[in-house]
Amino acid sequence: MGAVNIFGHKQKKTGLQKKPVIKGDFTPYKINYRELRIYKFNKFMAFCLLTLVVLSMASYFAVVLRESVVKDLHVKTNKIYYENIELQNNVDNLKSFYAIDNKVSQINFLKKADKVIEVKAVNSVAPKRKNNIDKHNLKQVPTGF
Amino acid sequence: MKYLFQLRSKKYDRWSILIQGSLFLFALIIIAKLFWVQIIQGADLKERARENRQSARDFSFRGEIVDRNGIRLAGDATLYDIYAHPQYYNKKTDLDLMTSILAKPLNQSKKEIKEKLSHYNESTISIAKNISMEVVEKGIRPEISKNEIRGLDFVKKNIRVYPQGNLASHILGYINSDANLAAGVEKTGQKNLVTTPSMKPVEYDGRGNIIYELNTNPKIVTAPLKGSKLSLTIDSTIQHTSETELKKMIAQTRADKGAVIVLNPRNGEILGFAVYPSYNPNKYNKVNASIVKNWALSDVYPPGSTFKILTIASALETGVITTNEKVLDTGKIKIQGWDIQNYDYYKRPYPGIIDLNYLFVHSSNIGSLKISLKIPPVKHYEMLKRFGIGQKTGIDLPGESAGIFPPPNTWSEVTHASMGYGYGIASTPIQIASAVAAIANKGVWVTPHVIKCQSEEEYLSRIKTRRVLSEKTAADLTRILAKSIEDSEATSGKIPKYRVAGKTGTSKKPNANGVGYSSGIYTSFAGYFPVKNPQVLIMAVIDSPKTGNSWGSTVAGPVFNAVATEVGRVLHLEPDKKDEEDKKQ
Repeated sequence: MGAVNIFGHKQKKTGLQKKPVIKGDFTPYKINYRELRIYKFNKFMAFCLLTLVVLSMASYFAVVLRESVVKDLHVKTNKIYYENIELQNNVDNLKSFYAIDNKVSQINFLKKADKVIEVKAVNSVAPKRKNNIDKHNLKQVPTGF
Repeated sequence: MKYLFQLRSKKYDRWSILIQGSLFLFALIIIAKLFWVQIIQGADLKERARENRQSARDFSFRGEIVDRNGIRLAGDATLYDIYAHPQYYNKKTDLDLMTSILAKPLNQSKKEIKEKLSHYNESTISIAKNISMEVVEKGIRPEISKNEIRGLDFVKKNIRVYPQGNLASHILGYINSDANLAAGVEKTGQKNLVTTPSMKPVEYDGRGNIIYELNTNPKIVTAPLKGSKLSLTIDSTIQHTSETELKKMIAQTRADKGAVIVLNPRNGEILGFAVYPSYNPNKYNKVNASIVKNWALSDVYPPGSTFKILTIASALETGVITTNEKVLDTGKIKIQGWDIQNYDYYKRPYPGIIDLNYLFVHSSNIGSLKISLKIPPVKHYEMLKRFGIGQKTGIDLPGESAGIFPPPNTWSEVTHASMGYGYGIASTPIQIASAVAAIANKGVWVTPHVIKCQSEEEYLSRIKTRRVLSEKTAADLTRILAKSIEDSEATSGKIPKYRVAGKTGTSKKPNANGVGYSSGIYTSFAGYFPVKNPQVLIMAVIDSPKTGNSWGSTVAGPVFNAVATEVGRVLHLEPDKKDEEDKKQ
């Protein structure tokens, strides 16, 4: 039975092959302790690489997701800001000194009356009011001092 | 683990070596390229990337301009220009739809829109300009998105808005970013207004997308990009009062133009700077350039009798006279063939021996010129230079003129004499205001300014101060000026609650060609108060009032009184006059 080279490169003869520890019908593999360690190390490295790839992908997606949220917020806040600034401009304009001056001059409420009507002297004796208050329905009002 | 023990052919090994070799070579090429890009070209590419990022930050709001109390005087609004790109929309199916979507909000006929959109051979078609954000965001964009129409471009731009209308128009100025033109503080404060805060670490790529960094603060990312706020020293209420009173007097006297400057002599802060005729900075391009110009900074005028303050101050400081000085006022005098007389010569032909109080009360030209001639020309020139005559004040507004002030070696006797009562030289109103303010500020001249200093360091670096007079001379002069106002028959400078130190001025208007005088006059009043502790200086100048009896005391004086009364109320200044004194007046 031929030996099997699992690593695909030239094998060195070792003392293990010359002096078997146990006897029996075993298939003689061309494998030694060093190669086995390399194999295990490679496996470990492959696992680390895979983990890193998975972690990087997850991190990338997290970053992209966060970025899109931030971008969305940026667009929304800018939109609100633009609206706000428009409204602020209008408010400032409406309450500006000049707007008030113009409004006052339009309304012209400080204008004096064109014609003043003289009212004759009113009667000094006031007309008597009919006393139709329901005395029984009067509410008690607390008096102050 | 069976597969591990399969036999491999030599052919497999050869291929394996070939593939491994190729991969190794490929990795080597990548490493070499990375080395080239990152190490060899690293610095250059980094710089190019930075330039690319900065160029994407063009759209930012210009900083706001506010008055000293935070009232917004200028801000930005957003507008859109709408463009169409025919190569992106379907001519058969989209055209009618686009026409119907755009026509109504843009206030254009369907025919007009369709005609514009039908220029298929053009790459970009301008559909409409300066469209408000509301129209675009609420009227057009949702419909465009809903119908999935491509080929319409909404280009955002900012436009400067001045919500207070005409208020402080000559201080604010205007900005035309396309033509790179500006005036007022929009020009002098440009650096501040376009500088975005340093705490803004956000960068954008060439397409305008945010370049995300793990340490980017989302709060900062989401805030809109905006320039720094510019605070002015102007008080809107004082500014409005100044403008209103000035406008009223100009309308009443049918004058050509006028200016009122209100400043704090202690620190040079300008509280109000009214210039008439004014304009609406929102429509600056629709008014004449002569109106947009701040004539109180660029144009010069003979200051007339207000200049007597500086003549007497110079004489007192140089020691050629004392506060008890007496001069012979003959009412009229002939110097080098020129007749010079007092304005009230026909009323008081020979006032005789007069003191400084009489000189100011009756605005004696003869008294002033005699004192002026007592000062050696070189010393007089030096004194007036210290007051800032003949040089720019350094105010933070553009277009300031230095005035006309000939050197002493060119002075004739009559030039020197006429300088005593404010002729023979030409100054800007701001020069006279800052010169008189130096007397109010215990003899220290301070640079007048409209942009508020944010720190002590900024104040020290921007604002120049120099001693012009001794504290004693300044105090003596203030006392004499205040007494002259009280003793005067005119009402100028007589306001409730406060004692005022000041002087009226009336001067002939020189012809435009500089030879001789026209029929027009300049009336002015420069005064400060409260005398006990001067905190406000007001300078009023009105050019060419056209009503009879136009003098500094009848035209500029009432403007001073009205503005001063309001300023005292607005600033809560401590009164220095008793009620009885008010009643007496």
